Amino acid sequence: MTGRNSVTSSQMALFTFVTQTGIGVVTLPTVMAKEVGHDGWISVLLSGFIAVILSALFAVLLKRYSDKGIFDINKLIFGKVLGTVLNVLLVIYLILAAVRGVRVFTLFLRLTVLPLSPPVAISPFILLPSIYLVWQGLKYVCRFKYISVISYVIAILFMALMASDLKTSFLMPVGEAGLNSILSSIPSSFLAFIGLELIVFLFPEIIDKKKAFKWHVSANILSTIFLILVVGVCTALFGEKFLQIQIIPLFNMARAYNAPILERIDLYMISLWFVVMGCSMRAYMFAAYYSLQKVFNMKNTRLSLALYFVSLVLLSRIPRDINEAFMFLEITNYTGIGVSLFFVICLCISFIRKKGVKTR
Amino acid sequence: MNWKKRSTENTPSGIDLKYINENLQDCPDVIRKKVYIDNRQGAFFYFLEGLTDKDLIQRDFINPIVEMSLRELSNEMNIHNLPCNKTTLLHDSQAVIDSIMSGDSVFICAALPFAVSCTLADIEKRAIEEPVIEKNVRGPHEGFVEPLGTNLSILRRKIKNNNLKFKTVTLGVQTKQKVAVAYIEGIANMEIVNGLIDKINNIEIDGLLAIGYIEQSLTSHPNSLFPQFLATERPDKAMSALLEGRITILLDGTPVVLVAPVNFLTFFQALDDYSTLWIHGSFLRMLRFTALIVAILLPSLYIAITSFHYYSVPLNLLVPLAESRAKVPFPPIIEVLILEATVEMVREAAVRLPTYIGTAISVVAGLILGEAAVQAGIVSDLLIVIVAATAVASYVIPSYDMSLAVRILRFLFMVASSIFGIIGIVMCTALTLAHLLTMDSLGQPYFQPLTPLVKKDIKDTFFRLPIKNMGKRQEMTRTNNKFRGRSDDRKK
Amino acid sequence: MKIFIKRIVAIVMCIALLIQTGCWDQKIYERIGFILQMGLELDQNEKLVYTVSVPVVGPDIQAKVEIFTTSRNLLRESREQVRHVSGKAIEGGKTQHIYFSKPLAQKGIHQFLEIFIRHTENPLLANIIVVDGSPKEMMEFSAKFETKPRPASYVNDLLVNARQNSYIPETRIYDFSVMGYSKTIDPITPMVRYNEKEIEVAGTALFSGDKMVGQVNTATTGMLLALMGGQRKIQYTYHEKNKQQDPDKIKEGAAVLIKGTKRKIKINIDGKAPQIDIKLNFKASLDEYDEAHNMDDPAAKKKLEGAIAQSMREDCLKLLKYLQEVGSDPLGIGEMVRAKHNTYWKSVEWKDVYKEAAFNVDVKLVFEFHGAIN
Repeated sequence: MTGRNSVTSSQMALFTFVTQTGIGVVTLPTVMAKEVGHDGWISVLLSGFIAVILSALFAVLLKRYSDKGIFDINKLIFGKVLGTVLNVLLVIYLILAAVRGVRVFTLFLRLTVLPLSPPVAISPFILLPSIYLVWQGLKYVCRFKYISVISYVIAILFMALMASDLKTSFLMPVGEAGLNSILSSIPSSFLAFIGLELIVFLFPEIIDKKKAFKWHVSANILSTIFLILVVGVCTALFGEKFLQIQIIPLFNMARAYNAPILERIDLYMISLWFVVMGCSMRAYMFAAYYSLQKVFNMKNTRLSLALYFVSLVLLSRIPRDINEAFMFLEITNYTGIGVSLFFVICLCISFIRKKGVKTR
Repeated sequence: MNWKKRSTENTPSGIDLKYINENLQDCPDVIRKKVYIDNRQGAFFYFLEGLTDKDLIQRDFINPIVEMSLRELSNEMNIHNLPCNKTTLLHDSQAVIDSIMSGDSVFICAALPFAVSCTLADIEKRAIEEPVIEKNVRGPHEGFVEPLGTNLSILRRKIKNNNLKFKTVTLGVQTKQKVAVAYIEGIANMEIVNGLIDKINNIEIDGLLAIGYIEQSLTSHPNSLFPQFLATERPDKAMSALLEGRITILLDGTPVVLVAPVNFLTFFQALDDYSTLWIHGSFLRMLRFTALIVAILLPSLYIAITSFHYYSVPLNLLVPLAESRAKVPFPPIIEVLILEATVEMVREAAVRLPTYIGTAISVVAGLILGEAAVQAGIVSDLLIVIVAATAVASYVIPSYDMSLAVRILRFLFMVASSIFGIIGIVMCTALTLAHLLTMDSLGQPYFQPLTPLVKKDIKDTFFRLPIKNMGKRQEMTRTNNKFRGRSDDRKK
Repeated sequence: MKIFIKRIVAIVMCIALLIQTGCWDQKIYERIGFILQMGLELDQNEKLVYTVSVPVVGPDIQAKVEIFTTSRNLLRESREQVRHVSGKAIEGGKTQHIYFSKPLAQKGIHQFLEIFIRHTENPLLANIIVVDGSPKEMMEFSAKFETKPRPASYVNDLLVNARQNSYIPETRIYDFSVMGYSKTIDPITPMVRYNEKEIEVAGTALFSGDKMVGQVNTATTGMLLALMGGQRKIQYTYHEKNKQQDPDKIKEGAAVLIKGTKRKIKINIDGKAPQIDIKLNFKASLDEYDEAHNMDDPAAKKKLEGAIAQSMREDCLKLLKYLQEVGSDPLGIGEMVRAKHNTYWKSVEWKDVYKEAAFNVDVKLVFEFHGAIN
């Protein structure tokens, strides 16, 4: 009941929301502009629908096995050997996703505030809060996300400040890109929703499981709204063509505002967003660490934690330049989609192999 | 021979006079008065000089006893009829010694099966006055004093209710000090109370010089910067805590009491928030939280901007700042450290020195040193303003412990910002918040009404809503009596 | 105890490591020379001339700013060249104004803004200004202005005031880039001219894409900004045309301050050339007029309002005609057509159609106040 990992469903919803929006949103407007021009928000909306549907499917899957997590479910569905292999693959995915978080965080940091500091020095430093919180447990990782809500509020207020500079005509005519290209862009926009699969891993730790799915769906809806808002505002502010050449449109938006007296406030806005990005990467770090404990029976000791984080930092240095880093990001994200689809497959199989399925 | 003599001095009760005398050797403050009962049976009065009221002892204890015959004395009823306020019968030598040492007067007669102890204490104590550290404007101006009994009486005077309970524990292997745990039955959560008393019982220590010893033995995060118990000298603070369902720990010999469980925001509350109108109270609250942010962030922000993010300086400040910085030979971090360290030293000096010298020191240091430092080109003008604002801001925080924590944090932030600029600040803030989130005070989350979010308790955090809107007690204390201002009896 | 010592050693080593290697991105404030103004122009040999003005501070220095000029191809190259002679690390993070000479602006300026977008340290908020003359000369003069504050502050104040009264538009790097990239709205920038004693705002430089194609003066800028929409304070002076010369009367005309503007644009693409109707509704106050004192008479008031509105309408039409001639579309008519009549927009070459579009302007003016006298 009061374990260090136990969370309520509303906390889990916040966890999902921050994980989804934290990192993806920084680049999403550009990705969308490249694919569908000014109709990115439609694509995001459709992806949001899919995310909600997927969440509902996850709900069905987890409900069938009452309070088990995916690692136990895999063993039930695929048998011990195949199940373990799949579990190991899932853990590898989570670790890669965590590595992606570290890399992207460092990358954005170097792009914006500290262009010269060596990543070897930055990475451990920016990981300090994560190390502390992952050590403490999921409960505290989730509680920390309440803090990041402040950043969201400020980000939305900031977008409201930009309102007079927005040109709604940049968003028109609606649907110019055409249905085909919008549909084909859905995989790209769905990347921003990656993070919704984490609940399947962490499900055993939720206290009030009955409410979990209502909250999970609302988290997805909230993410959809927020992402649409950001994509819409960025497009209306910069126009699609200007957006296409950028890398970090969210931060460029902060650079475009002329504040009274202070003039440039981009530094503060970017710093605030780093808190959210930290939260987002921490979610994967925790999930991976938690899964390592579950699958390999690893003990939560100082040594294992230290080794885990050292390996994260080292792995994050593998991509050599920014393009490789983004490629790595994309590959991991697509794997994330794969993992989500895999869960759906699990659901289908569970109707055939009924071992362990909860019967009424 | 020795053995024989000993046997003759043995009393029927087993109280060994020789043992007592041996143990009281070299205690010149113990007065041993010999008297003869029925003019033949030798007996002794023991009491401590300076802790007992001699007039009263002579009148109400020695006199009646000496006038009684041995047979009358053997009758316990007569003993209980003595006009002193509390008489106890003792049957054990060690109990006698403990009783003497705690300031009671003890009568021992070899022919009696018991020793008689009575409490007629007269301790030298200072008057009840307002605590120097915690002042307020519109509240009572009294403070706790050193003797435990007086402190209990102060609390009882404020809460005239038999539900106000004090559980006493004796602590200190050598000093045998009394610790009282106060709570209101029916409001406080008994699980927390009993847990706390158990913990206090388990403290093994020679003696407690101040209540901080208890605090450090009880805390679950001994390596934390932040205080997990609210230390106060104000009875009104203790009273409000008790009414909330919190627990108060009082220690004999110190005017400071501990309150638990408390959350982070409690350290920013003062009685004046509640004793004035709610808008005034809210204003004061916001002022304090602004001060908190200023006290922690301002110097490190200065360092971050002057050594990393020059482009965040507004145009109108750009040249003046460059002008004042141009004279300074040190990089910003050294400059700030010099001045901050000096200011901290001044503060520490002012606390330890007598009041009149302390004031002089602050004036000298504050005005002359700052001005001279600028003249000498050691620090820049803007920094003087920043350090002064920071110092003032950290004075605004009502709790001394929290203020210390903030002062230390400031230095950590400064060092981090000198290496990583604003990212250092962001990461330090995140780390601090992460730590605050994981902490607990007596098992209750330390950052309670904010995370985990308790919506109804937000009413009394960064602002304070009118009293009529705050019908419910805070979630923090896990009280069973959820509503304020309703008597339990009335419900029945 | 051993563990304790080990920990202390580890912490000390970490700190030592950080301190020795640390502070990679450090840019100590007083060691930086801030580029506050930057000028770009072409010399006789068509080579780029790069001028920066850096404020100097220090106890024994008389001058307010230092001017560096180099001739290099890349901006960064030029900055490095400047660093060779300046004692300070020259940084562009606080750049306030970027001056382009007219000939350079006519060749296109987009390429020079790229470094500002690429480097996050550089501001997107620097003002883009076209100088009627040589930016280098202007910056050299302005360093020696005796009655003016430091050039950056001076120009800043100048721009802020001029902007408030709609003498010039506000154009920063990001505005310019947004419009430049949109291809449907053309940017405009403020224009200044100078002499040995002062700098003067001269109106607006009109662009087509990122190339300067024309210019209008401060008075016309007011009308241009009104046509572009948005709430602004605009000063307008009205002179009665075709009035018989009265030799005794020296003063003539009226000055109005426009406080509120409502703009409506209707685009009709049915005809051969697009028909564009612009409706402008002004709320104004009368600041100065002759001594007729007849404003309490509704008919007289209406007559004056009508006359001024007519004059404004003529000014607007003249301005639109000029815009069409030079092929600049700051109003964003192209953007509107693209957004609302997308198929039509795709079917034509807008730049050509724009020149043939028929504009119709309808101005309504109402005096809300006419001061303390009638």
